[in-house]
Amino acid sequence: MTEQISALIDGALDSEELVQVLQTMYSNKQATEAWHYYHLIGDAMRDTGTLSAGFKQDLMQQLELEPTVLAPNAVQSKVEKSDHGKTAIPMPWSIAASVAAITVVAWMALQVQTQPLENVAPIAKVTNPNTNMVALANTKPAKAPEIPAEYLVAHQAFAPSASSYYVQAVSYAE
Amino acid sequence: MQVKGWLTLQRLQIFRKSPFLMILAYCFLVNFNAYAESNDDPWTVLQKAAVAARALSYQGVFVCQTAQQSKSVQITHHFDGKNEFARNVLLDGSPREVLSQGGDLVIYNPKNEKVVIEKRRGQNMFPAILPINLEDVKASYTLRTGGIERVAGRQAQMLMLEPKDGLRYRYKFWVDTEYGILLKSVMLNQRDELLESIGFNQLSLLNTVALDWFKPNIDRSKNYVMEQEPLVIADNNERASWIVKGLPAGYHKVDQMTRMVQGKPYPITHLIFSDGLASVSLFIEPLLKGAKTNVTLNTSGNTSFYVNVNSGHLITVMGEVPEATLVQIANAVVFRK
Repeated sequence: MTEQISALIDGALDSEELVQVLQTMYSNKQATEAWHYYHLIGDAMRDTGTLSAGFKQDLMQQLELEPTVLAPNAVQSKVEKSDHGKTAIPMPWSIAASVAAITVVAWMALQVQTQPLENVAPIAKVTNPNTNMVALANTKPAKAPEIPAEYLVAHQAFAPSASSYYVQAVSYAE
Repeated sequence: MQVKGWLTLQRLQIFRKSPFLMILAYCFLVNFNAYAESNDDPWTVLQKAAVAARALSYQGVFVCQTAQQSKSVQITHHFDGKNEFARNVLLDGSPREVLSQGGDLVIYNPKNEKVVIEKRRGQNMFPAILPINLEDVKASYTLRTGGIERVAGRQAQMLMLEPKDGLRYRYKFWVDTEYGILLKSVMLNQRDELLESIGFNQLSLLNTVALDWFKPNIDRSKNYVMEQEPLVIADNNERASWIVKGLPAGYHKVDQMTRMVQGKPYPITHLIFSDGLASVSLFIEPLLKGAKTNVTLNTSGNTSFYVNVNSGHLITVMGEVPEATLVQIANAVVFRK
């Protein structure tokens, strides 16, 4: 299991394994802990600053309080409008608003795409943006099953198509 | 085994396959040359192309393209009146080489620090993708003449091979109007999507009779090893608990064997079916107790495959044919009660 979690962090799992691992992690406390520890180790090695205790809970709470934003542009234009009205609002505020909007949208996207990942994905996002992207990429609809390589090799050896002499199956691993 | 394995193979098999077919083919060609120009029957043009690919000596570069990959290949082909020799060198990616003599074919496949020598059955290598005997093809396809087009800087007659039913794919062929050889071949599915395209970029006839080119380019820094050949036993189906009946129209069994497949502890029955152009492999094996199998029907690139369970046996079918054909072939396996 720990190996698979490690592979998940590296983005090295295929979609079928991914679903399996995520399901296990969802129900297995040890696995979830391993996931946290691996990220902690990764952060320590990359010298990323650690987050305060209870960061996840705080973040989730904050997000709960945020209004539902359907598109970041809407928020931005609102901010711009208010900028025009009262130029008194300092620049950092509009940046903060944009960041918040993007966070909310990203979080919503994660909610939709990775139902079992609810608890895990936001952490991944905060601790390592790369992992987050991998997690998203991997949760695409399950890829169509591949042709079993051992049979394909036998088929191409005894009933080759004209292109099979040159364009070989991936299993031949050049 | 070292490099000399290839030479041994040559010596052993040089007389195994009768050169008679080739001589016959040569006679055909000589005959066709006399009147092919005036004869517009598209089947005659195609027949001539099937023979010309085997009976002419030529060299050139062609590009082989599928949905996944595209490779350029340099071909040298020689026919000495009795035997066919061909060397295909891949120009893109790993420098794989395919050497064939008649129906015996050897692939030199560089893999990391090694070069793996693989033996294959050579039966339809471009441009000789058409069988000499077109009767089976005529039964399942119709042939129409298209326009004159330019391919590889040469004039070519385009021909369209249309299936009579939905159980096989469509083909387009371009045949050199002067040499009679196939310059380009394209395979299309029912939605007119390109599945496979092989065509010359450049082609010239070979005048030399020397065979000094008929050897692989040896890389002395690498170790040459024979591929671990799976054990294959001819199978005459005497003791089988099943029979094949009700195959889809035009398809017939061309071979049957019992073989070991990588990762399987028990031998598997391998049957091969063909309609003259397309080939389908069917594998039958006992289903292990407790094994989970999903019925799967899918197409990856130009190869479709179908997995099903029938009377406690796992049936795996694959080939360069539409999915419906695979299902029909799988259903043709009937287990005796």
